[in-house]
Amino acid sequence: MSQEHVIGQRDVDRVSTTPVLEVRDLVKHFTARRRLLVPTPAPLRAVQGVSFQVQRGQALGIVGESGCGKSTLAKMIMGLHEPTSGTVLLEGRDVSEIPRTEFARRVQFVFQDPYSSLNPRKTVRQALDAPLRHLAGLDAPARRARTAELLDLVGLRAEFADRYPHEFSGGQRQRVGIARALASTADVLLLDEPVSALDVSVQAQVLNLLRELQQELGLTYVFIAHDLAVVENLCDEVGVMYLGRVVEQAPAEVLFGSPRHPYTHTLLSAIPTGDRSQRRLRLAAPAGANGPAGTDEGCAFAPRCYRVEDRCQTDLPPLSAEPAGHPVACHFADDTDPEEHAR
Amino acid sequence: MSDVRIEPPDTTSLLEVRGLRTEFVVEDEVYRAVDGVDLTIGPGESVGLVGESGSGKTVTAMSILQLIPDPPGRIVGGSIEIDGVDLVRAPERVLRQVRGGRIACVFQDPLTSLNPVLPVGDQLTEMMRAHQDLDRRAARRRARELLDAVHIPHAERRLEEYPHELSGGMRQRVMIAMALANDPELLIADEPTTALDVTVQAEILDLLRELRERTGMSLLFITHDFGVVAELCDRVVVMYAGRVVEQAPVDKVFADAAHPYTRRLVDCMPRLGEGRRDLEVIPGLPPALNRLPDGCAFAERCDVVEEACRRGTIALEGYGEDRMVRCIRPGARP
Ligand SMILES: Nc1ncnc2c1ncn2[C@@H]1O[C@H](COP(=O)(O)OP(=O)(O)OP(=O)(O)O)[C@@H](O)[C@H]1O
Ligand SMILES: Nc1ncnc2c1ncn2[C@@H]1O[C@H](COP(=O)(O)OP(=O)(O)OP(=O)(O)O)[C@@H](O)[C@H]1O
Ligand code: SF4
Ligand SMILES: [Mg+2]
Ligand SMILES: [Mg+2]
Repeated sequence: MSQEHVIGQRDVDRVSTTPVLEVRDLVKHFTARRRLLVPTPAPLRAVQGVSFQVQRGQALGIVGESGCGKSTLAKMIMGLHEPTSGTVLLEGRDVSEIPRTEFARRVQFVFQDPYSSLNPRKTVRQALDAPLRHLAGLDAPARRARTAELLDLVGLRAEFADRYPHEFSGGQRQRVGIARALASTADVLLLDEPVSALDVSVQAQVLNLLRELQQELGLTYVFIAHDLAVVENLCDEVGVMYLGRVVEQAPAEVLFGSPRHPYTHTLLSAIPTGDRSQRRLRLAAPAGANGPAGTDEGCAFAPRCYRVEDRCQTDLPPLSAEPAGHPVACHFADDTDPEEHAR
Repeated sequence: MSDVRIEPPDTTSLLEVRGLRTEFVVEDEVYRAVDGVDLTIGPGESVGLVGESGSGKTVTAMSILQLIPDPPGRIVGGSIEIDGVDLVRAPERVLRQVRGGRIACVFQDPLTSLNPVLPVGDQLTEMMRAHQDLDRRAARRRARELLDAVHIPHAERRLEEYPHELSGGMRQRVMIAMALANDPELLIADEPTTALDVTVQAEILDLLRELRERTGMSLLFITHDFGVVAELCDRVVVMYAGRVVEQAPVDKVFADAAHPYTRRLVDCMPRLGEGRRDLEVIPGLPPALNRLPDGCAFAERCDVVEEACRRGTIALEGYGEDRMVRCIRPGARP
């Protein structure tokens, strides 16, 4: 069990193969703008040393609070943000050495915000045309056929092809974004909240589609989402982030079945179920009470944690699978049962 | 509360939408995005609006606020009354007072609703000063309080920041703070928690519940998340292809939906603890809005459809004592 701390490693046979995607100790600091008469604040540490591996055909889910650095992490993998330090490897090769077009043929991104990610002056057909031509290398008739096929795959009517983004509803735009990612030949998709704008019937369609593509084409996903039921439905492995760090990682069924980090417990109990009498673990303080900048002193979750003890204020808990189980960054990982500890 | 408000008479509704029809004309084709929507919201009531993506939920909300871009859009029928004033026919001057004043809104896309070149603090104070008699410093103080109220940490620092410097969730909380700035009587929230993680979402839901209790504010909450609807709303309105197909008290919709579309929709939801599995889907697509069929718009995809379903307009009719359904076979199972 303690061996199983490599994300994406579901079956032991795969241990020896190079992961499709690996990130090593990624860090991103945003320097605050200088303002007149105000001392320049410390840089904002959005991502503070994240490492993981994803094997071919696996889906890694990333969950965590708003602002914990999920999108920043994804943008660094995509090369949209320069990492402050750390490396991203695609099949063992440092991505900073891979030419742009080659990278784009392999890795595509679906953005969190379908409003700003589509060019308002391009119809859907034009938006799909570029990747179909330059990345998939299709000729005009083939592009026409593929466009129709892609729209059908994501559940949009064929005649939508000649419409502009502003003519679509939120969920329809998000599906255009997914179609565009699928238009390339990419086998690694980074999906940043791809289904949260969709209604549940379309969401079900898209999740089934992603699962099907994963099985048939062996696609690899990094799937960022805040809906835990959705993550469980699609992902093999899940990493939970808190303020720029991974605080727990495990196979989906283990993470949701026997969580160890108090933050994961808190997340699970916050899911609205409709049962108004349901007891929720209330956080001791609101989101980000500990400040966005983050420190190395103590556990970042301490100000909000129900399990906190003195030691948490001073010692940074490392991500460790010891003494038993999957990796968790908590000093009391084996003794976090909210029934026993939460007020 | 900053201003004295006269209690609305309690028997009547706060907002009454009757027969609303909103169309978009694109290249000579008429798209009936909202096709005869009736919707009432009582004082202090919380109504959830759910339905297929593209079914007209946002267009309904934009119509209420008279924010439909014209061209290509136009309200071609119906009325929207708040305290006897019909917003469809009201002059712009009245609308400006209503928008962001009595009716506030939080829209789906925080990036396009926020001004990218203005710090969020300035946007908040401008918003307040347009509706209230406040000096700069008082507005500034209140802006800080509002960011605190929506649990944005380091409010003072955040006031100086531009929208692109905030995470998606924080931007959405800024939007909610803006909406609450003028103590609205009705808050229209279009997927305000869609971009938020569950703990922040839980905080925002608590916040909205608390505000409703404290101020008696009504809520029209558009969402795809049935869990959220169940926790926050008294009544659910379900839309399909521009029409309301079912309205019912929250518990009834989940326990036994009357309209076949609602029943199928509830079945599509993934639930935690079920692991990786194929989800139920509703095969097919909703009808094109420029070619709405004569009969039931859901007929093509319905699992209990009969010939009569396609024959003529199907009315939204009473079902049981407190529900309305647009279906000739309500409650039928395949
Ligand atoms: N371009 C930028 N300049 C300065 N700060 C930034 C920038 N982009 C992000 N940040 C900050 O970095 C932190 C992480 O942001 P990020 O967008 O990665 O969060 P997230 O986990 O994706 O959140 P959400 O779930 O709300 O989308 C936040 O505090 C945010 O304000
Ligand atoms: N400016 C516009 N021009 C043309 N058509 C439009 C315009 N705005 C909306 N529509 C159409 O009106 C219909 C209803 O859109 P609306 O945004 O209300 O859907 P929605 O129910 O809010 O969906 P979602 O859940 O995806 O946000 C859609 O089919 C959309 O394509
Ligand atoms: S009217 Fe007919 S087709 Fe429409 S939902 Fe009811 S049973 Fe199905
Ligand atoms: Mg994000
Ligand atoms: Mg919408």
